[in-house]
Amino acid sequence: MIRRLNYTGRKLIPHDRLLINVRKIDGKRAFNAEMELEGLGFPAESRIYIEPYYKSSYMRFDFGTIDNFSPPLITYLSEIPDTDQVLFKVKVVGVNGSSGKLLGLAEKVIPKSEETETIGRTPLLPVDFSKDLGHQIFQIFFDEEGNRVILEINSKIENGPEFIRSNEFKSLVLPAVVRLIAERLKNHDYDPDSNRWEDMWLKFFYTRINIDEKPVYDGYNQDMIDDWLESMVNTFCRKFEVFQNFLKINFN
Amino acid sequence: MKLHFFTKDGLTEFSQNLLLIKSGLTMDLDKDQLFSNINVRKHRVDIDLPEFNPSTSKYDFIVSLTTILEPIELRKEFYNSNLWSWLSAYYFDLVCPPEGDRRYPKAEERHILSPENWRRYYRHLIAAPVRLFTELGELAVGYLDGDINVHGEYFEQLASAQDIATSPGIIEAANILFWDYERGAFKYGSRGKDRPGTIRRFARDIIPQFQMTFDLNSMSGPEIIRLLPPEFNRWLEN
Repeated sequence: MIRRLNYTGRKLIPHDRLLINVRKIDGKRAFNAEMELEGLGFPAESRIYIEPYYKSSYMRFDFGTIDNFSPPLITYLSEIPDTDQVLFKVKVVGVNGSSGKLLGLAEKVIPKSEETETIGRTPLLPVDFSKDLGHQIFQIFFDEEGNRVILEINSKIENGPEFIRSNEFKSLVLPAVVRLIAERLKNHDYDPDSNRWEDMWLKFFYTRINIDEKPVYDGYNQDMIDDWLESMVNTFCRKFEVFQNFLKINFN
Repeated sequence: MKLHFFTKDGLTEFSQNLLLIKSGLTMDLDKDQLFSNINVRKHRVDIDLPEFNPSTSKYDFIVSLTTILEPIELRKEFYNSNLWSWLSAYYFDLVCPPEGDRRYPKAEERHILSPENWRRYYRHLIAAPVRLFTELGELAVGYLDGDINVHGEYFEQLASAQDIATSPGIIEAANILFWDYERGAFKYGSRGKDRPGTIRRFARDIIPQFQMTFDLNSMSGPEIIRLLPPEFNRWLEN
């Protein structure tokens, strides 16, 4: 197992002490934030910044200090692409003797929104309906920085949420999505204690679909990997009744 | 000409024009068609755009254009692909000058603004430098060096991540280190690729490393410079 060490001296702010809501105000996305930072040992004068981000786009908001929490009046996400998958960083920053030093940090904070009902619980496959994908129905975005896989559905599809509940999607698209994700895991060695996206997906394959563990790829056994993929996708289709869903499609 | 923006059809037409030019089948935009009524609309704010001489520097072009465009409330228009793409077509001789009997437009996002994410956004040859100048003022001097149709080494290295690109402290530190204010040019050797203490090393290795420990957006340029390893000292001695 890979042990992660923190030599920086900064404290990790637990996500359950943070509550960030994204909602629409006058048709524009904005957020508000509540947090409980007492008891974490930050000096009272430390500054708090919240930084929404998505891919390489980011914004920054000053939320005052530990002892004078003062959210800004305007928190529109005007410079973040129109996506459901925005994440947040919360920073506690030193002043005076430790000016600029990062004293506390929470990364990849998932906001609560209409689409995400719970804080701190990451869906295995978040869906983004906001992207114009040209002539493609879907794309898979492997968001390494956000530690997740996002299924992007073309925004030109009029009712995306309904589409992903349809038999067409479940039988024709979803198995392909699962296969593409599994193919990406070829070189990954499973760590059951990790919360990396790769391990969460392998855990799903092993514990929910109940398939054998993926062979370790050694550069020469692609055929074994291919066999495992076939078996996994087939078992997935059986478990989630893909063929039965296909038969329900009305081709008229 | 008055300030316009592309319609959806106009954007498609511009994209097709770029493909034809890139393939060498034609050398110029079909401006009669591209700027016809079906492809463009006049901007709600009445602005007369000047012509610029082909030898205009990037600094002069971007500073002038930013000033001219101020009445449209630039910050509200930063992500307006229809506007910035039209400006690219209008100033096509500046952003894609002829080289012999051809033009080389290169990647589409240099001309058609891709507002989806910053890593594509910053490649636009007009929107990105106008935005950086708007955000940073004269601190953006390094971004505005060189020719209009090229993002130089400094631009490529520092502008590709938004949290670095628009951070006044980081850019101030970069300017103190690498920019020669007397000559109005980069210090000799600062844009090298495989040496310690270069812009590339500053942007790719050193700053991301310090971002793990410091909130560099809270710090000034001199404060950031005090953190740097000795490999950067030579720029301070010049």
